[in-house]
Amino acid sequence: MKNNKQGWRTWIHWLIRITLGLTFIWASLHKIVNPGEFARIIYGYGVFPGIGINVIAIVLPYVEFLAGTCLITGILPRSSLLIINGLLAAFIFLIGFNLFRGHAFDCGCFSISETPGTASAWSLLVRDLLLLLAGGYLWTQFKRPGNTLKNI
Amino acid sequence: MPAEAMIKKDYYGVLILMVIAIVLSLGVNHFSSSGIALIGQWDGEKGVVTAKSKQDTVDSEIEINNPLRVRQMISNREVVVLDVRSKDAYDAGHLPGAFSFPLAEFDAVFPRLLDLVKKESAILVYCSGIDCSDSHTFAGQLLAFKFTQVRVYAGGFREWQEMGFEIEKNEE
Repeated sequence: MKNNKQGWRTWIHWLIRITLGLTFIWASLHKIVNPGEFARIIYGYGVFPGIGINVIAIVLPYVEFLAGTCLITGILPRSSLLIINGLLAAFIFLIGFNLFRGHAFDCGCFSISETPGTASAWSLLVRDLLLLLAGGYLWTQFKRPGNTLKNI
Repeated sequence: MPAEAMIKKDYYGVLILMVIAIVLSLGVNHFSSSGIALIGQWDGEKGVVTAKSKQDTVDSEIEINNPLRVRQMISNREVVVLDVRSKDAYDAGHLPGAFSFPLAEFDAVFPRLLDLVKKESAILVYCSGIDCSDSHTFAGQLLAFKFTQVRVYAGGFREWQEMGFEIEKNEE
């Protein structure tokens, strides 16, 4: 019975790892291919200083890609999960901040031309909150005594 | 492993991943044909914003960044005004006397443009706003076809609207 429960838990952990990892890899690809458009989207958020926009547009997609890949492959899994959770928290803050001040923006999460609007921003917020919830749960499992990369 | 050592290892891991991401991204960006400059032009006061990519179409030399001047040009009929946004956006509201030539349909609408203007006609192109480079892309294609007097209204429709200037609509 205990083994059965542990088996399910392991499956759930893997499901979360793969979901989070693939989400970040998928989200990074169009940004890597088209950094110019991604920079324009970052500008649209209206919170970053002009001097830093291009550097963020160049580096952030690779951080997403590497973190996603490492979480799935098990290379530095705790560190990559820390990055993913940190990025999700930052995205939630940015989306929430723009919703709060009524600033329309293009998320740029999975494509270059997502429609800006309050409805889509709310769905983004919910999506990122769910992902962060999953990432937070996985982090607590990584921290459990006796849990290693092999059984998680 | 003690908790403190584990946390230390995690932070080192984050550092390693960040360093790899920075080196990799800057390297690829440098050699990629779609790479961008390290610092872009993001000051709307100076004109259309751009990441200054290697494929950039934005040419600040042809921009007019003064809505009052644009209004004067339109009322004096000094220019043929082209709206390169989608037809739906055009129908919802456009600058007085502007013609709809959506950038996405450039090949289809170009013959119609040749009927409307001469290559030496003064043309003013605009799109949605300061963060839109479609007007520059369109203007660049006109210049490539040897049109000689092509300008871009940097502020675009959004600025025109914010200034409270006259807007024409196509009623269904």
